[in-house]
Amino acid sequence: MRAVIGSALGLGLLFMLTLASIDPVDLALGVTLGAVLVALLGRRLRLAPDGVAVAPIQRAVWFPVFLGAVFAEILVGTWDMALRVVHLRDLKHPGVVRFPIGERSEHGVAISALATTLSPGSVLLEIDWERRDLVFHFIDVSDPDRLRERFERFYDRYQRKVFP
Amino acid sequence: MSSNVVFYAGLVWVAGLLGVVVVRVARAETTAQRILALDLLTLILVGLLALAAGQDGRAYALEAGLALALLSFVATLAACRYYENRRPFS
Amino acid sequence: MIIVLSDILTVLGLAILTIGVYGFVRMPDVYTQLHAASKAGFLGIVALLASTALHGDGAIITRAVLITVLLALTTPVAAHAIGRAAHRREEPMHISEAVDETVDDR
Repeated sequence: MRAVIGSALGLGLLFMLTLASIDPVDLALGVTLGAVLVALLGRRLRLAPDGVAVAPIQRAVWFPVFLGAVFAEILVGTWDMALRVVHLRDLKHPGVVRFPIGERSEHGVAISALATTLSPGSVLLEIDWERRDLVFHFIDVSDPDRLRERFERFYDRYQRKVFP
Repeated sequence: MSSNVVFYAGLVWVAGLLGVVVVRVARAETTAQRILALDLLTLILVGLLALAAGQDGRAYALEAGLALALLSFVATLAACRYYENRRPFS
Repeated sequence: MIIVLSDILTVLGLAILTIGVYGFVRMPDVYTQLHAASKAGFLGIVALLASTALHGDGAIITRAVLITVLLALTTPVAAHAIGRAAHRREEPMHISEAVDETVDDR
């Protein structure tokens, strides 16, 4: 029940943001629409089970750090991609690599995949739950083990404290 | 507001980019490339709308951009799923 | 001052977009095109939106932030959908030295 009310309120807020209005009538309309949507679709949307619980304060403190780290990755990736596009770095070793999932929960896998895919130079192709692998396409896989090590280090340093 | 020179030059430039991508949509080699080109096309259109909203000072163009971005996301997903297993919803 | 900053952001965004489109035209197969097109494009759009939001009123700023968050959530998912579809339909990689660690499970 709490989840339903929370989702309806969240959707109502999104509605307000989209309209950029502060009219209470709009808020009521948004929350009503959200509640109807959740009531209609709630059963069909399977929400991922929460894995490991994180203290809200810890999450609130580390989330901006995590966002900053992801943004830095995007900047570096875009710069690297730009150099490759204009022939200043070579484009000889693109390829598909497997990364082990490790200790990530279901949420953690989703956030990891999203963050890695958002930075240019890497795209998630597949999640292999049987072998517990993430399949990525990288623009440069001349050294796959170094890539895996970087992926793990990013998780350890920034993500573990927010989305384990 | 960007200065007028930058705005008009940018408008022409983005229109040129749109033209290039339209050609790529028409002449893509594989289906995935065509879907990707369509996705890029709407992304550039959102950029064009952002540019226009900046000059105009009003938010109408950005509302259109918001709707366009959402719509293109859903369209890309549906097209990919159809290409993958011949059904939009599995 | 703000106009100069806005101009710089606009030019930066256009440059990133141009690199994205050029990369999209130049890359040989769909996987490499994905990197250039959808992701390099994202930062370009964000730069253009930032240039718009610099001098806008509240309505414009909320929309710009909303579009940025929305794109940050949707571009990776769209890229993943395209990549997965191409991978499952076994679209070829056109670079001869390309590595594929999943080739043994086919």
